[in-house]
Amino acid sequence: MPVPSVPASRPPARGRGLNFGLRQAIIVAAGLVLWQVLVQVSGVSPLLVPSPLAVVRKFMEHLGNGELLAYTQATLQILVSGVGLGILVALVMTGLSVVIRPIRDVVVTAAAMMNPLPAIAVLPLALLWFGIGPGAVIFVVVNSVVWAMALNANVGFETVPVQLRWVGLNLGLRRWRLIRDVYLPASLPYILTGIRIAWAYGWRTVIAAELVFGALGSQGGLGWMIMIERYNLNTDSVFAGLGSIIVIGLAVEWLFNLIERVTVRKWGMTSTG
Amino acid sequence: MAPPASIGSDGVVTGPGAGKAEVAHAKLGVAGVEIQFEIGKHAHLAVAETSFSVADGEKLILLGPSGCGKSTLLKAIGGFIRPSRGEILLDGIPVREPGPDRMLIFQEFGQLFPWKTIEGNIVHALRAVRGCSAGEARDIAARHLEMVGLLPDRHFYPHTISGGMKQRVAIARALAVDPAVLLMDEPFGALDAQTREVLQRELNQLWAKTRKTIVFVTHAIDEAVRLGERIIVLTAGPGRIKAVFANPCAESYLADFEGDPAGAAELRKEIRGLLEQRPARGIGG
Ligand SMILES: Nc1ncnc2c1ncn2[C@@H]1O[C@H](COP(=O)(O)OP(=O)(O)O)[C@@H](O)[C@H]1O
Ligand SMILES: [Mg+2]
Repeated sequence: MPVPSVPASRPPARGRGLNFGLRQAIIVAAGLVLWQVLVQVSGVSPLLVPSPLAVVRKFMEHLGNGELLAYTQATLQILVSGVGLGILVALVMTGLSVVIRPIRDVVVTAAAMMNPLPAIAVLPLALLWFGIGPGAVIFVVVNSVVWAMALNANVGFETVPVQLRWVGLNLGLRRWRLIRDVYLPASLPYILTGIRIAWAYGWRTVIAAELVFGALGSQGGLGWMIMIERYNLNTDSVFAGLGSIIVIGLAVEWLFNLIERVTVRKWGMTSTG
Repeated sequence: MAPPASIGSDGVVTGPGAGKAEVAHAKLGVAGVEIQFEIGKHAHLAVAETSFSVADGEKLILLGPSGCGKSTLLKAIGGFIRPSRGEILLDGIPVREPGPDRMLIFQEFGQLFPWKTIEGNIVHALRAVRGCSAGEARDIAARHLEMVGLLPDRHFYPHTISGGMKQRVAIARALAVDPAVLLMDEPFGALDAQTREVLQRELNQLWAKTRKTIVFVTHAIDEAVRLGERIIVLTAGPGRIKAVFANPCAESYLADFEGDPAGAAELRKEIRGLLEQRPARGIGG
């Protein structure tokens, strides 16, 4: 039998050579340099593809005059209230399904039906019900997160190890104290995954809503900014808006990782440790 | 039809059943308990009519082969399973649901809350059961961690400690709550042989100090003889009491765990003989 030239198992990618974060930074920097060079060499119109330097300049300009922060704040306000409300509703529904079993069937069935529906599809309905304004977008965001969150929390609650449940009962914990002291912390890995998914759904939904329906509130958000700047052919500003969305997404990802590190990882509740 | 009585190795005649009055006045009474599981349309009899009682401060062993219904019986005492017939009485009062007066310790290591430190697990139990203040709970927790030798490790999380340490914490937590009866379901069964022996000795020492009422389930004859004051032997298919032994070596093992007191070998042999007999009606299930 020929000796395989590739070792059967490689050490994990993160462990080799340069630190993974450093390697990622190098890749991003190389990409930016390549982009700059291509723009200059090809002579493409800045109306179609601006150079990264122009984008950064615009980004700093929007940041400096406070516009970018105002747009970001408008988007995040809707997003945080929508996602927060959605998570709360989902947790209450899941908690109730532990105490009252028939509620569980209702929640699981509703979640299974609503989950495949792209959340943005109910925006027209929300506009009918709530009128044009942040209320409609918050409703859409709540709807986009609540079902994914409920499904995850439900799986978490259903898979609480029987020993932990019994210890809780043994200590005389019942109903909401049992949920608070045992079910919630025991299903935290699932709940955090649910929050990640909820955030991602909500984030996409709110930007899409702003793009499609423009400034729904008194003040437009990042999606609105991108639409306006496109209308005015300020392509570098469009790119700056997209860049802001990426930066915020990365920051939130970092925050989630931090939360996991100081909770479920520290407690050995993840399979990856 | 009453099963035959047997003669324990100390010569005391003991019957498998206990009198109604005796059961009612004991610390813990198991009165005519029968436990059936419904599996689809079939009813599987896990524990046949069983009666016995546990005196205050007694360390009782339920010994029997795997699958004979020991865990099922213990869970019923804990209030986690409802008997199909009969009653379980704690201080004469029927048991209806789980409660901190009967703390159950499992064989599995996953009985500590992973999100709480060793100390946090005990503090949480104390606050849940007794509603003490955080400071008071930490004091009581420290006392019990000291007893199992884990005070220096109190700030560790469960996933960072060994199986033996986890079982010690579970025991410390159960004792801290100060239950009327401590129920132990093969708590050392998943440990390596050395650690198991260490914990068996520690349990004897703890019991000598506290004289807590304990019902300890095991399938190991050796463990039963070293730990039990009284040993109830169960047979399988369905589980029923075969014999009850007053252990003549109990005090010797408390004083010298490694010793080989007179009568221990005979007792082990007699129990082994009982367990090797084929059940009268064949092995069910
Ligand atoms: N939840 C259950 N449902 C159905 N049968 C069970 C259940 N738990 C235990 N049994 C059966 O009851 C019998 C006794 O089980 P168990 O009490 O766990 O035995 P032991 O602890 O003595 O090994 C076994 O035949 C087992 O298969
Ligand atoms: Mg068992």
